[in-house]
Amino acid sequence: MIDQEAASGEQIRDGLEPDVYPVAEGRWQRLKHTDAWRSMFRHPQLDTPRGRALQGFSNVFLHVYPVKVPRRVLRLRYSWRLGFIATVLFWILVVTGVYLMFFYTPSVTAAYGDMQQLRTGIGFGQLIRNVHRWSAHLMVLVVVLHLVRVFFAGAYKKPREFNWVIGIGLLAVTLGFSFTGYLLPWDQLSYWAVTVGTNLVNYVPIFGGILTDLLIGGPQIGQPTLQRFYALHVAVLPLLLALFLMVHIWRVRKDGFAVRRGAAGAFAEGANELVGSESAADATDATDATDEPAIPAATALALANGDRVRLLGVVDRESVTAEERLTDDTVFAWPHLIVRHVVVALGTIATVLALGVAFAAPLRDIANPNLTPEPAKAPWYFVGLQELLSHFDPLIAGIFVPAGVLLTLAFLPYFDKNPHTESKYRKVAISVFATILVIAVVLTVIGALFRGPGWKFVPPWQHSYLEM
Amino acid sequence: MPEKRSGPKLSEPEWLQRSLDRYLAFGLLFMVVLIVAFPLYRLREPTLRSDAKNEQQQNYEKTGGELFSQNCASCHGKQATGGTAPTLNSKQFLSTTSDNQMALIITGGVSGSSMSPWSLDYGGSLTDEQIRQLVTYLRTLEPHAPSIPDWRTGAKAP
Repeated sequence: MIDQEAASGEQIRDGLEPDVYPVAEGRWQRLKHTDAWRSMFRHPQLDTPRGRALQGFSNVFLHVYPVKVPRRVLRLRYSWRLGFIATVLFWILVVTGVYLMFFYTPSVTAAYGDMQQLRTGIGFGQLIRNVHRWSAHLMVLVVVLHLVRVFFAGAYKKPREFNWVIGIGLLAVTLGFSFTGYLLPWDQLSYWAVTVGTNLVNYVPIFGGILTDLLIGGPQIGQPTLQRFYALHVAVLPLLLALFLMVHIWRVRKDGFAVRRGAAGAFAEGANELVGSESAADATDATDATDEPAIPAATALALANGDRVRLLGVVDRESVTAEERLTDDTVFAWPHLIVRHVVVALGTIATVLALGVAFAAPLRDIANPNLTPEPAKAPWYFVGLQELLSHFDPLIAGIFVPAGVLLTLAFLPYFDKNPHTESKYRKVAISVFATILVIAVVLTVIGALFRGPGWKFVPPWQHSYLEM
Repeated sequence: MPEKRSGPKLSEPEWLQRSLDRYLAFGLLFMVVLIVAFPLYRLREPTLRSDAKNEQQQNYEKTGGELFSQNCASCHGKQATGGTAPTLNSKQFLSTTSDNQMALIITGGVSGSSMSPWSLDYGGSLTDEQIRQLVTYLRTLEPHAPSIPDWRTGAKAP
């Protein structure tokens, strides 16, 4: 037991009263009472609402996680964790990317040799490269799925308009990352995929020539291009992405994880969703992630009236009254949300590792400007555009369509003024979006799987020309 | 000991704890996968690397031979057996010249001779990769190279 007199001074500094602080018993507890320990872990594990809240408030994770989150956030199908998975993939890409940077020289004479060296001479070199490549492909996919999910949830509506715009910026940065990274191995695959991609820029009216020059730095892709793409890939884009991500997550924290709003706000689910048959089914469905039981009708009534739970009410020890507890549909982010996130992160890492072990990243012959492979395909996420280009004028298919889609998406929240988030009130928006989505997917599938030399129709069961 | 007055106890529904436990079980599973996968891969890796190396070596020998007949054979002779330029397929040349030396000579050429720089960097037509392939090809000749003391003049084997 610690000395009462001395302890009280310390505990006042911590904002904890002596009777709240656990008694020092045993070696482990004494360690937890040292100044060093308590400077790092400011609050002890206390199984009271107040103790949990103090832990949350004094932790660096408060920048990302609120102390309490609505229960629905714990449900897997609330978001499918897509935004979080994309963030995890980004961090995997940073770590594996730094490892690859140790062994890579952005020079047309050395880059390809470095790639071979990764395969033949460097510990974990090929594995890390595989994981980097698969994570990059998955990140593009997951970011797009995240966008689709947010659209169908209507989660771009007030007050989340600006975060949707930032999200489109993040999509653009992700595509930029993948595209610039594509060139770096300097093999035939990367050289010609990037040639197809950069040729598009030429079709931009008036500024096409200047933009192409800026991007590739010469008459054709060469050393200046490789150096530019490398600089963009390892310096400019990571900074941009970090900046956008900070704003994005901060906005999510402000708009998304907040305690339930009134029925008019975005994401306000009707109370019947919580008490209705759906959540009753949850309670019996053992496979569901959280199997949330139906909540008492009184709570549901309070929720339907737009009642809120004040966070401060949780902190102040005496003010958590029975009535307020009834409307409390929140849980502590630690451990409930954070543990789920850690597990999803581990699952993501395990997935890309498995992919990396199973499938090697391709490495064709060294880039040769004089030898065009047949077919020369763009990276898979641009192959839909390439398919479109084979049917329409390049100015329309290469510039107006993609720019139009991207700009429309970016400003979507500002001209879709419909305040409803339920799909039955958004028939027009949903059908337009779904149509565009289906067209994009079909074009991509045709371009990726059904096109062979000379962009002729070759079904994949005859010969697959898909290169990942 | 003072009386405990730490506010209301934390009351979380049991299903919440069960759900958390289920996630933790999955987390454990993923961690086991990761912890097992890395050493397993590490065990297999030397084989993977040496296989890749052999494959690359064969590839290089073949491509190097092709490059040699396209670019070098007119002066150095078919199979590097001599001509107007030094006989590279000779014990004397191959045993006294390192890979790096060979690469440097091909890259930068030899002044005062008709051996021009071959590297793209110096106005030639070969990438560093192709120069490495040439060197690999020449090195494969070493075990059976004949002794030719006059190799510098391009003398043929007797």
